[in-house]
Amino acid sequence: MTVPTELTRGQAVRFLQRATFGGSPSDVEHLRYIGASAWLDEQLAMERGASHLRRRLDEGLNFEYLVWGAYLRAPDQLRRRWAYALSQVFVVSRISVEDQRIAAFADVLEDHCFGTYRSLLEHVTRSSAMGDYLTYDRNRREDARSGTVPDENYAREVMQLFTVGLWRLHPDGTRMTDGSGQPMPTYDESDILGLARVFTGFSRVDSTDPVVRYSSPMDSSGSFADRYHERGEKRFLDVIVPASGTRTLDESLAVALDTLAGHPNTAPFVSHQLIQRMVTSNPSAAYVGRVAAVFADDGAGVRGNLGAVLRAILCDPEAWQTAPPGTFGKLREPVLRMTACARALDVEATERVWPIASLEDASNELGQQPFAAPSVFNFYRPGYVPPQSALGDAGLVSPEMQLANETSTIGWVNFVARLVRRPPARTFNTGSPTEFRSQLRFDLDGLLALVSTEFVDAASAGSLVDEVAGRLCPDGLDPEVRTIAVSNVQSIVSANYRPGGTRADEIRLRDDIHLDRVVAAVMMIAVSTDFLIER
Amino acid sequence: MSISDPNAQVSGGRHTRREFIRRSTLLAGAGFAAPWVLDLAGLAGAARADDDYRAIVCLFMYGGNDHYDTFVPADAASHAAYSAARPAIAHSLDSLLPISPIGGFSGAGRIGFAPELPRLHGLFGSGALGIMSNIGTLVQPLDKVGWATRSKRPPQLFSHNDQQSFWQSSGVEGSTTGWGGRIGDVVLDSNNANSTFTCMSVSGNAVMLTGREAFQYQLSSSGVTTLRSDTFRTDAPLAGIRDVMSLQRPGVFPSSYVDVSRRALTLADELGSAISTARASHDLDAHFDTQSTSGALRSTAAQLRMVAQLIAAGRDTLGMKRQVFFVSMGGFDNHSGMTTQHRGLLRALDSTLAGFYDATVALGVHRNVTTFTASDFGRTLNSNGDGSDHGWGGHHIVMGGSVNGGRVYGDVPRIGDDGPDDVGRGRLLPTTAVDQYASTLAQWMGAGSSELGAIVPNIGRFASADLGFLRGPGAVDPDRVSSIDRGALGSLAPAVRIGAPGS
Repeated sequence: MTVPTELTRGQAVRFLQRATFGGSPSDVEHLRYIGASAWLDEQLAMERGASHLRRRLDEGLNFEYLVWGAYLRAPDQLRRRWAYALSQVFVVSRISVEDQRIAAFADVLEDHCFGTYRSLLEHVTRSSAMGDYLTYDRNRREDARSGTVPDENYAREVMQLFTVGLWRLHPDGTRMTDGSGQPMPTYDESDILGLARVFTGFSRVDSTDPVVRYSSPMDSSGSFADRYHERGEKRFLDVIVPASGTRTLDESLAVALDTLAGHPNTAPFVSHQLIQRMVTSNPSAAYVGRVAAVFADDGAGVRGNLGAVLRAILCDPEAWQTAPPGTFGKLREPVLRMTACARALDVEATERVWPIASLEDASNELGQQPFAAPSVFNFYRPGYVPPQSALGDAGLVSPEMQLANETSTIGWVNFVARLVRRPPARTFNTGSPTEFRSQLRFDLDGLLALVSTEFVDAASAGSLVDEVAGRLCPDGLDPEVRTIAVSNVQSIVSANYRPGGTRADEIRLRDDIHLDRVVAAVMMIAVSTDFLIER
Repeated sequence: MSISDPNAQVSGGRHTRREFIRRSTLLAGAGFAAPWVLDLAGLAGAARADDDYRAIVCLFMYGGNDHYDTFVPADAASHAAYSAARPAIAHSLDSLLPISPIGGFSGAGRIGFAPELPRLHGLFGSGALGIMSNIGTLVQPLDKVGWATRSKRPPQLFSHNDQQSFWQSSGVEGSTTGWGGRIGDVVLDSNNANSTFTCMSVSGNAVMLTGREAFQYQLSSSGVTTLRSDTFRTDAPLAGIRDVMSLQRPGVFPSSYVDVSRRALTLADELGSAISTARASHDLDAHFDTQSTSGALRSTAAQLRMVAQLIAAGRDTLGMKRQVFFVSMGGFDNHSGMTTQHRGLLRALDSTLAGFYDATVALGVHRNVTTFTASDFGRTLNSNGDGSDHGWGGHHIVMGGSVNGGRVYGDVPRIGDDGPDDVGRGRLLPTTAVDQYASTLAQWMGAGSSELGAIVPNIGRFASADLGFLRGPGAVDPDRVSSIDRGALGSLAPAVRIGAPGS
């Protein structure tokens, strides 16, 4: 454990921004009180919260409402955050998969994200959401008579994206090269053709019980599998599943998943991406190597222990450098910006249902919605190099920069303004006896108290700015940004301000002016690179 | 370009040409006119200053369009082989929209339009649309013999992200410039102080549109995003927010992000107002079905409507001479559901492309705008049941008033499984390279032959850098005039054969 035993406020904020969807002030206090190691133990042991699918079916609410509620308020934050990271490796998207199946898939990730990679890969592979998304549900063996061959989709993507990757890797994630210095492909088209023959015979379970229908693994042994699983020989990645008239899908699948999860590439390939999701875009080979070593063996002989991998990522010395180099860190992705801001301001909803649906519009919202990536290649690619940028010039990648453009940089500001100034509210079950309205609420009382006067001096404005920065920016605020923020908070005044006025409009004006100061402080910090760049 | 010290630009220790242009556009956008801005315009802009407006528009079909389902084998033998290879998803022969191209077909057999493409079929007939047969990613001319040598193949064939990247940039994922952007580099100086609007994507981030110097300006299909002004009771805080967003900080991460947000703030007002002017002057809504029940149609129609408005804004208000646009349609990875999904996409393609052509006619720029399609790859001939898998070469569309249309460019491939024209499962071995497609478009945009190597580095390895499908906006199609004159005599021009691998 290289995390400091005594955490400063900034260190605690940083740790929670990585390990959770951001810390509320009380979360920060709690972590500082018990320490990171005990905090991790506590979170790893915490019971999993309510099933997304259950709530989806019981309450009839789209998954997009449920996912925001879970990310913003669920107590088992580590599990949710880690599963969200894994959802950007094992990508399924609401764009082409029905909502209930997405909810069930989110459950799969949250249920198994502290187990082994082999087990998670199997649950993912058998899930009807993935079967639907990558089109191997009801995939059939080769049929010489009709000329059809197995669908290659899953075979290709499970290798390229979920397990071994395109290029052969050293244990520290660097590429192996051949005698002439060229990178070496991990597999070729014949491996895909061979592996595609494994993923034949799955069929989703139909049932009148929606829980069964949406959450059951695809059937791998019934009549469809009997009829359509490929019995012929399957060759991929140097293994052979021999032809056999009695070969079952479960047998073929076990060999395939053992091969993929056990392949030497999988540990560094997956570890690298998970470090990128949690800590930094350009981890050193040594960092990848240390995490991959834990992936390969957790110390108790278990391969792919994801809880241990998570701990290794969060507690690595590279993640806790006192003065990290400029190459360290990442651009905070929009989803995590939103959750960090909201949680730092003690977000709550007035009802059990959160009035936030999809936030994927980039001009007014986040331009990113969990489980709604544009394709199986996620919202951004691990190797994305921003063109014409200092990052690119320095040879660095920045996946999240793939979402930064003329629309989204301004869209983020507009979104924060709306979120905090006019928190979203929504009426549900409109027109029915069970109609109710839920509104987002922030606990701003402590911040408002700092600036609830007709004029604020630099000290009061400064205390507001420092408090917001203390909650959002682990290293505090750049002095130049602080100066701008303080003077702007001070500039929010009104000639019509009546300190002793008791009329409703006078009270409203006073409240508005006080709130504007808090919102302005939050916005100026939320658009500063002190917040946007995680270091 | 490589700068060893990532902070060089921040400290001002190094002045790249890129930064020079960036500063000039920032100043111009802010309403200043520094003398050296004018110098820059005078320096290199003069060469093309008297030229007409020209734009190219890329419609990228994400996922890999099934070309066999789009331009369908139409002679009896090829159609029979095609039907046998994909029985559950084949178009019937009598449903196809037949064509009689100027110059006839070359290669094996004939192709026709899918029945979902009546308007594009009409444009083909009227000469405003041409078909590029079997075009794909290549690093050098390749036949079945060459195919056996792995090093001669483009890297990472059949992989979505890499082939999308290769189509757009001639490099696999991680490439930082694309050929649309590199065309932008060459024509940047024609656009004087507004060079920042040279390359514009209405479809998010696409490597296609980033040049070495040309920026990719991204906007949404509803227009420019500006800072909301209704957040606060007073205007004061907005100024502070703008200040923070524009504050350049040391370090590669902060400076890379602030570059984008600062550019966004600086240019939003100017572009937004030019778009408003264009909207007020031209009502283009009738050409675009933005209320369709088809999501793909709605989205692409809105993107192309935005491009039409940007063209009007660029030509009329911003003084643009050369522009490169990028739009997209998603959903083409039809491993299943071909007859429902893909046919719906084809209908959307028909409606949006033809609608966009009509809009350019309404704007009077149809001869100045060339639209072309691109996609990850073509697909397999034989089916996996009700869909097809990733392929390689495919057929594409070029459309516009300067297209020598009504023709099929390149050989129609033989239908087969590991036959002479495919590398197995009917995955087509391309006979025309994307580089040749790109260099033809580049030359139409004004790139000189000496500049092509900077746009498509491998172009020298191919037999031709001009596939002949474009002419100048003022020119007429001589073959077409003559074929109409002589049509009754049946004396057609010889078959157009281009893009065959050089020997």
